[in-house]
Amino acid sequence: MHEWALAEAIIKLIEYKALESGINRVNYVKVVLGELQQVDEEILLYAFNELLNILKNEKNIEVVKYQLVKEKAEFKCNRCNSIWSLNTNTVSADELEMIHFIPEIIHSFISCPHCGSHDFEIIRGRGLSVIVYPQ
Amino acid sequence: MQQDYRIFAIHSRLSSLKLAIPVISPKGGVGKSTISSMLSLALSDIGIATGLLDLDITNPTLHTILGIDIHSVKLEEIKGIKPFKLTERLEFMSIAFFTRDAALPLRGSDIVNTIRELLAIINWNSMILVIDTPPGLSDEVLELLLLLNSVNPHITKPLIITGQNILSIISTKRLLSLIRKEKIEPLGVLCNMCSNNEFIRDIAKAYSVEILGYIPFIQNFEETIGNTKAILKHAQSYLNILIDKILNLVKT
Repeated sequence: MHEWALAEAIIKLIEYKALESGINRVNYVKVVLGELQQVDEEILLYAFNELLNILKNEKNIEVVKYQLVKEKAEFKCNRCNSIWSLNTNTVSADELEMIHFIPEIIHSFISCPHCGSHDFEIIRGRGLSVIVYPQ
Repeated sequence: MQQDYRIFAIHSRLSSLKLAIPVISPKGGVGKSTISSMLSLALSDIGIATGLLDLDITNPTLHTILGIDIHSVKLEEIKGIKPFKLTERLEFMSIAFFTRDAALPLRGSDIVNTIRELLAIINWNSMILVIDTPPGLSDEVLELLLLLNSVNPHITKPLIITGQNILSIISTKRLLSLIRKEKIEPLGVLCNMCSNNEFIRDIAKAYSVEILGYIPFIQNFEETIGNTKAILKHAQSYLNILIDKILNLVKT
């Protein structure tokens, strides 16, 4: 698990955006947790809140509001246009761990359930993404 | 890019580097992977903390050249992932550790995402990072140059590999022309499977790049695949100019 490292990077992004905008109060941060990356929500939130406190105390940068949104993973086949969801039963625990680190690795482990193609897109729920709205 | 939190993680992961050497060539089959392996083995052998990254995302082969059994390696996790330690001073990372050597068919945006995730989670402890790239000037090379440039443009010095045949020379000319327009300072050009330096003298002069030597065609080179001692021996025979140049760069 590397949730602490993820939280540290999010905090650095918030700090960068605050400095870029010349403000101390960042209005809103949206954190999207895509299902495929299997980020541990509890650990990420704990790390994020701890680091937010440090950001406030040491850099005087505050986040007014943040929201965590979960997103189910969905795939679309480029060959036959089928759309399907993640079925963790078809992937081993070892493979899931690798997907946790690099979600695109799923292309090695699954294929389109309709036509068997590995040429598919992760259309939703890939992993962690962050949008900072400074004002 | 500035909204991508991974960029900040990549900055801190690569901040200890004094030199990043992308090994590039617009043409396939000129020996980028073997030279990346030779160079990193030689640098680590003389006591320099060296990292080697296989950035050929869809077709990694460095682990085979280095004789690493992917399936027997369990990557260590400490706030990210520690690269595989091949020797005391040589760290190695490849996407093959994650795919377990299975095929990884990816389109452009997926390759960019893979590279960002990989660089954001790997804890390098090296002074020099050698990066083997796939042939051409596509996603892997462009993304690598973009990220390295955002970390520190002064540490990035591509090593250009060419062969002596006309197609290879023409491709290298194109690459050098582009690199010069982008104001990237290459480490130099190395001619592989060449009988002498004459084949690259003209282009080196035209684009003001240093010739870093040549490696002749080595009979039965295939037999050294998987044998790091034999690969190191070749490096010690043919990479002296290149290694001296690197040592001078990291000393200053």
